[in-house]
Amino acid sequence: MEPSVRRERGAVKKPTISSPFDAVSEDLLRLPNMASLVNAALACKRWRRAASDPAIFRRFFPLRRPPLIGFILTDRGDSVPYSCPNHYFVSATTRKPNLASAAADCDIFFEDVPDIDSGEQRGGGYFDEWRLRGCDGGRLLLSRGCGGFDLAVYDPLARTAIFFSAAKLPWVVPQGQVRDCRRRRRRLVPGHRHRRRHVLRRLLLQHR
Amino acid sequence: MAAAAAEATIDGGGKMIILISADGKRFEVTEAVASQSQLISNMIEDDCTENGVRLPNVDGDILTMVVDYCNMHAGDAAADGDTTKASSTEELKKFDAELVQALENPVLFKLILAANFLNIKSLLDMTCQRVADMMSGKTPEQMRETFSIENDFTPEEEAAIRQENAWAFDD
Repeated sequence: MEPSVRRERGAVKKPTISSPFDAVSEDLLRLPNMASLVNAALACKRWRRAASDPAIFRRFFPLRRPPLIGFILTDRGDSVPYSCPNHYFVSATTRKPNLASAAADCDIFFEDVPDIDSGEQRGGGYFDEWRLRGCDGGRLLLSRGCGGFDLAVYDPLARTAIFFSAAKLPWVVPQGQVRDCRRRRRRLVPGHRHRRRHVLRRLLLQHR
Repeated sequence: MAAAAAEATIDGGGKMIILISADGKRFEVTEAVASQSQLISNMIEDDCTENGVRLPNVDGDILTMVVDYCNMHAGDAAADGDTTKASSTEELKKFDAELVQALENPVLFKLILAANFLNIKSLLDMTCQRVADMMSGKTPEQMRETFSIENDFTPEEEAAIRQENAWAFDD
């Protein structure tokens, strides 16, 4: 709570909940979940402003549980980096119509990954295609090229990508999402998952 | 400081302090009771409670509740104090629950304002939690009804907010 004396409020005479801004914030902070917060924000503009306060968001951020919109199935493992296995997307939004549009707009097969010039010599054909290597927190780890050294972390909802070259990476990348690309299994370290609104909780990769 | 005034005390809670509500009602409480308000606690430290503490933001009926609350909870703060004051945890919980459950909304909001103004954290927590409990699980429409709020969104604005927060309603 804030320190002792606050400015006096003339609002005391007419005590509706909407009169003191602080009181609304104090109430919102004690709501049990995001859904209640959003409903409160929908009640009126003043409450919406209160609900948009960064302090409120800090409180509710850990409670954010982005929903699952589907699974990606592949018919090959990622041990052989040359091939481009078939992918299938199984939507999990049947009973959640408000997510269907998110799923429909999702670039699940990473067709929109921006083009980059990697510098690596490629043999053409499927070496030029991005391959799915892993996923975490709604992001896909993609690789490309003969040795699989071109890496990208792709957000299929925002359609934004961060590119890496595994050949140039040190063993540990301080700010990056990829570690130890050559010896161990490639994996994502959940670093930026809270930066942006993400609707995907996970895209589960399964091997048949 | 309190030692000099010790003879004026009733029950060992220290010096007595007069609280004066907006409508002029006077409440005599011990320092220990009043100190649960950070505002008054600061004033006691600054030695400016001699002529009573005027609380222009707090009506008499609200201050009655606040004083009742502080009297009940004085045992918390001074756990080593006298045993007749210190209430058991169960009693306190029951008292607190009954206090907030029974209140009409306008009174509850006044109490929140008073708790905020007087800076009594536990009372503010409790009253705000009560409002949050009343909000949670309700639709925006039900909330407006409960708290007599006018919907000042256009249907388009409302739809936009719903859409951008749709994920919050999922499991």
